[in-house]
Amino acid sequence: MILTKEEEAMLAGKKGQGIQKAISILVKYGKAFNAERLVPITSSHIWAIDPYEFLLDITDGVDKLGVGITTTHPLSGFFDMDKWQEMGVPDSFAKAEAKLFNKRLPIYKRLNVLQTFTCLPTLVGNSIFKGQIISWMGSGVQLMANSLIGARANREGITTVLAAAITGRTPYMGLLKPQNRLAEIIVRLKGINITNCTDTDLQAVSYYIGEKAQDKNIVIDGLPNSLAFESLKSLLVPLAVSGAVGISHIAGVTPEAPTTRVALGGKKALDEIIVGKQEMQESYAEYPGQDGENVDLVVFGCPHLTVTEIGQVVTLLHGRKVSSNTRLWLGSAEQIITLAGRMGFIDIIEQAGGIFARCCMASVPFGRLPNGTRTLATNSIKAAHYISRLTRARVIYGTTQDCVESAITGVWKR
Amino acid sequence: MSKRILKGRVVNDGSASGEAIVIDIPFSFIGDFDLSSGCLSKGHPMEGKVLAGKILVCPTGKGGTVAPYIAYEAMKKKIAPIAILCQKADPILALCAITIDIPMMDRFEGDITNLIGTGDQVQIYGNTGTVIID
Repeated sequence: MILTKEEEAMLAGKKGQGIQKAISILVKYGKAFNAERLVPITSSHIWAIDPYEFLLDITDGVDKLGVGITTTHPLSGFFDMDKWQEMGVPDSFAKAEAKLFNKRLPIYKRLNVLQTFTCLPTLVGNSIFKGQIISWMGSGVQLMANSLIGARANREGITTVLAAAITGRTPYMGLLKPQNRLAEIIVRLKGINITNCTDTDLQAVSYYIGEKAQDKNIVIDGLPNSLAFESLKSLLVPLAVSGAVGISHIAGVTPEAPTTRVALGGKKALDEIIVGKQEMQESYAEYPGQDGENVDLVVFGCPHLTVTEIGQVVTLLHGRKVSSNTRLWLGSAEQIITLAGRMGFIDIIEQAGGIFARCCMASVPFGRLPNGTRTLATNSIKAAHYISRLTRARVIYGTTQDCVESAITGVWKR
Repeated sequence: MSKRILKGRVVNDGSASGEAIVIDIPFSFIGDFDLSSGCLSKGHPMEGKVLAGKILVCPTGKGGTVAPYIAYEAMKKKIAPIAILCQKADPILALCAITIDIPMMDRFEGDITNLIGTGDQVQIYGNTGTVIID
């Protein structure tokens, strides 16, 4: 790998031990994937839950990050600093998390990391643009940055994003290179009228595509360019849950893909994925609910809810009450919740018995559900995927309307 | 059986020697690894098999971007694998090995998950890119 003089000095430890550790991770990582050099990044988005000793080591002697803006991902599974008691999250888990959080916080403050705690960084001030190279954590945000904005992000892990924020650099490889961003597989919807689909339908479609596409770049053909952000988010995020898709061109929407032909670079697609109603139903069927079964907890907000999505829940919940046997959680960013408050949404949700939380709603990488939570319903297939694997709860995936109804009656019915 | 020598590409340098555990599907520290026990987790086809202190052999990695966190916590608890051998290193699994600095190699001639069996004694020499199976 060819390094600049400054990078050589970093690697030799002349800029301090933390920077040395950070750049050595990036150099080893780059070498493993044949990157010829490091490139500057314009934005970073990190986890604020890094292992404490690791964080201490890698920030040793670092007073300033190497990048202009750094935002933080949500805190880990179901731990909201202010709401955990109200949510019923077990004491032992939450108190240990709080202790760790308070140990890490002074380090992030010293480095001027913006405490956004959300998986929708673009909605709370981390603005990125086409062609910019970024280092972000979170499979969903990486995919949205590549596919909706045309910024360049790799699928990468928590340690390289922190190392990139510290050094302001990342190895030039993978999806950062224009030639690696072209679509390889074409996806077509058959017998599905996209404008009649709910956002849960779109997630079900996406979950199916992700499993078929694995880690290939895809282009989705034949969609209108009028889809709302919430629908596009639904169509993208599950691709990196059932699969490992890094970029999904949406012809006519993705800045690099005015047409399917351009997305494919004028080449023939390697393969084609056709999705119809049956395939969509297969995704729902992976997390089925049984008529009449009790629902202990309803979870919204994976990824975090937009204010529009909060408004949809408000419409369904207005003037009604959540069952005394059921909890209702809505996950979003603090900044979005503030706007929801201004709109009068918080009052309506809280009077009905719902709780706003600012943590990760998918349990990743671990979370503790309230004691006695046997069955959980969610309108997020990503949350359904992870919660069903990482906790003991049974998980139902259903529409926002069915989930709200189950919160009110305490029973699943569709 | 006599000793066999395999050549591969070094993803993260270092040497290790120990017992192999072979998983014939892509592996992720998030979802497949139980951080409380050091074993393969609930729902995995090889659920309950010990990874702690073993040489992990698998086709490639997959999945979630927080995996290096789990690998790091496993290392702190001394229940991480001691090396990784795979057919093709994916970015996340490679980053796990780099983060906790255990030897990792890939791109062997032939399918590594067939060349090595669970329970084989394996020595890894990163400096020469060599794996010796006793």
